[in-house]
Amino acid sequence: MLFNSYAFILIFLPLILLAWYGLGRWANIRLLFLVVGSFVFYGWAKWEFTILLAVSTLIDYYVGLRIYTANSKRIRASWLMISLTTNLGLLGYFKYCGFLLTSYNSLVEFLHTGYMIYVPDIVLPVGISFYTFQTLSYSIDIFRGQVAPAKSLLHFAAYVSMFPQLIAGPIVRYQDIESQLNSLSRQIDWDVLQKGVWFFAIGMSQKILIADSLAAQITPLLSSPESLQFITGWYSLLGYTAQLYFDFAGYSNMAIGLGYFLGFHFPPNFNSPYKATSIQDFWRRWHITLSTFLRDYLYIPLGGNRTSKLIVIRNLFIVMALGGLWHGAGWNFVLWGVYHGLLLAMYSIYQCQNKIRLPRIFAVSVTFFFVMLGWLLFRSTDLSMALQWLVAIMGLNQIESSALSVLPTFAVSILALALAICFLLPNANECKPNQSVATTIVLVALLVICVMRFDVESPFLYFQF
Amino acid sequence: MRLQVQNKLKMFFECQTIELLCGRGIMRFIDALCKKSISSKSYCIACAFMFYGSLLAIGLLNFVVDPLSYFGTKLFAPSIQLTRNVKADGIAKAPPGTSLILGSSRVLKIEPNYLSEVTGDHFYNAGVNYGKPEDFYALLNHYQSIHQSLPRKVIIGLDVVAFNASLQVENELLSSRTLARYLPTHIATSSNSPFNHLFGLQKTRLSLACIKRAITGRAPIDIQNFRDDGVIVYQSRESQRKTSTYDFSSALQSSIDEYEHHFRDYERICPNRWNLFVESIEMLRSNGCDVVVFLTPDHPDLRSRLSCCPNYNSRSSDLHDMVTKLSSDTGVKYFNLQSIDHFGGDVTEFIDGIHPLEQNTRRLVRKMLKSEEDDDVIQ
Repeated sequence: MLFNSYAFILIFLPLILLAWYGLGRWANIRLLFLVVGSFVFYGWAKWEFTILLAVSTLIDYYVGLRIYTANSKRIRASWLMISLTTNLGLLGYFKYCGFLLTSYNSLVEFLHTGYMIYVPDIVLPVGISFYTFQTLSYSIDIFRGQVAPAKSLLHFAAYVSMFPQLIAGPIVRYQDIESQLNSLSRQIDWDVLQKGVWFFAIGMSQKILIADSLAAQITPLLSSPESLQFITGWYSLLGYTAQLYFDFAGYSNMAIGLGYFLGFHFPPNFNSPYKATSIQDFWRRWHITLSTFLRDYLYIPLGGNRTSKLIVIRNLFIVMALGGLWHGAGWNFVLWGVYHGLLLAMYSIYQCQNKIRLPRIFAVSVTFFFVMLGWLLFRSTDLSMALQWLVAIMGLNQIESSALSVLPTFAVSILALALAICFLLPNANECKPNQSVATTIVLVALLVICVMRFDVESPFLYFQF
Repeated sequence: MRLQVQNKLKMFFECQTIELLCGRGIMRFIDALCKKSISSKSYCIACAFMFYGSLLAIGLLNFVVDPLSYFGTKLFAPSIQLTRNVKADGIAKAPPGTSLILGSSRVLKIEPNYLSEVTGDHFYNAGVNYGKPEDFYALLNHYQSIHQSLPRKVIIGLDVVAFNASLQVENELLSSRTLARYLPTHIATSSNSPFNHLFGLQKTRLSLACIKRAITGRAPIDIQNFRDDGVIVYQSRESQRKTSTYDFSSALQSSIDEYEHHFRDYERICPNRWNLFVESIEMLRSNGCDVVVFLTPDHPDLRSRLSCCPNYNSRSSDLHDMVTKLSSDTGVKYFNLQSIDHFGGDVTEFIDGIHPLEQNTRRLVRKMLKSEEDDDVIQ
């Protein structure tokens, strides 16, 4: 089920909220209702996916208990290995099996040696990258002694399957939500609900009004990359840069808003990433929950910053390459990850040797430029598309006479608006709107317009990850 | 005393009027809206009520007006003529065993009467605007559902552009409850859901347009007239032709502009549409139906302009090859009549760049039937 669907807005959400607050006195029944509702939400398109979610939940709950109660570190480590193997195994099979086998077959074909292997057609369950990381973080945190196991299987299932963040994050750590799950408020906290309305409305507007409008302009351009020229090439690149941000940030804001509706506080996932003054700053602002996950569970265990410069650079490459691979089973994603690893490595060296603070506008512009180039790799379906796009933006495939001769006025306007919002306006977390009648009317009007735009199908870009 | 009060009231309202006229009243009103703070509880409850209330109002509007005749309220005339529903009704009313002409608007001048004279069979012209394989599929299934059999003979006019994946399934087809039920699930998307018809932005715009037309008394802009046998009547354009006042150049240029746009991103024949077309052919052949397929003709000027577009030549050639192979596999008769030279067509017997008139459609029919009699396929 999508947040931007009639079934969700008109049926699922009102029912869930009515039951959630109607059953105020009975915490366990509320949680059970939430778990069942979340499984319905997840299995709406394909019920078979719920089996995987249930298996992952059961295994990690049980493993968490065993880790916590184990006497020796060796036994704890063994149980942790089971959790790692299960979660990464699930992810590996459903997400990377096809990719690895296809790559192997390509290699065999190239080398004219070895046997080709049959590549099964495996359907990628939506959200598997997110909830496997979530359950992994739970097991690792118990192993590290940072958190105690969930009060009950019900509490754990509610944490894993909670529908606002199940499919596309934010990746919530158990310690962020443990106390909230254990002490559900019986009273409706209207201040929190009001925040939920704000985040949900802003997130929905970001996705429907901005991201989808940009997608309508750039998708036809990118469907034939060989036809891209200078202006259309740059428009597509800038447009995709904005589209990806508004699509993903929109979803995250909606998820946070829905969390507030249920009385849960989720961590923020975006903090105006295109205002970053360095690549390091960018990764503190973009997909924050993923980058902190990679930092805490991969980068730091590898040694983090507390080793020699060469090892730090090595760690950065490994983490970013794997981060790229997490986004998608494709060499373009790996390349994108390695590209960011390279940028981080270069920045790390630059930081050591230069103490000069660059003017903010210059720093933001340079960072934005390099991040944008990275999205070219990210969006390209293969290397030839990336090369064609690169050729176009370098002006090597003809230069059009003017933007308005090749692009409709609306296309230019929506991009200008999107970039103005990215660079000039505060984000949803930073805004503290007044609770006036005017704000109410504006937010409701935005929501109604968004709902009316549901007549065009528009899945979230990050669902493919 | 009373006079004093009256004077004061008069002054008060005069001031207010002046302020309103000057816009200050409005500014004060907006200022009050922006500054007046409400509690979180009132805020949330107001949001919920306003949101669901607005949706209820919009849903009611679209249900009552029903611009695409989805719900069948019939209180307002539909916003566009639903040619597919017209043809579905025509099929239902036709006697069993009636043969069919299928295709886009480009076949709408093929005369069933003329075909009856030549073949002795009763025909119905079931061509629809922007007809594509999914339309043929739905209409054939509808025919079978109504008459418990398939037509004896089917003549299908194929447009090369009909297999362009970037051309969406027609809203009209998706909205037609009569026909949409036959569509495969990968085509019958959620855009046809009742929620879409109740709350969709497009539908709401159409509803408002219907109301406006009802108030102003104007008929829908793009109404077309069909005879009982399904043939289209270009009322105003045909009368202009008779009086030599018809602006053919503009009509031709419109066709050129439209088709240049269609072929710009037409990179390959849409596999889903092709498969659906093959499924329709196999369904007909397995029931013993005689099928004749032809590629619809283009005006020579349109052809020469489009021949500069590589996709036009490539897609035409691709479709020709695919239909030729289908023809040899299934026994379907096939004619490539894209060029008027292939059927002795008259360049003046077009209403625009793509729609042949009766004289040309008769030539088409004679070419196909003559070849059919001689069992000689023309390429």
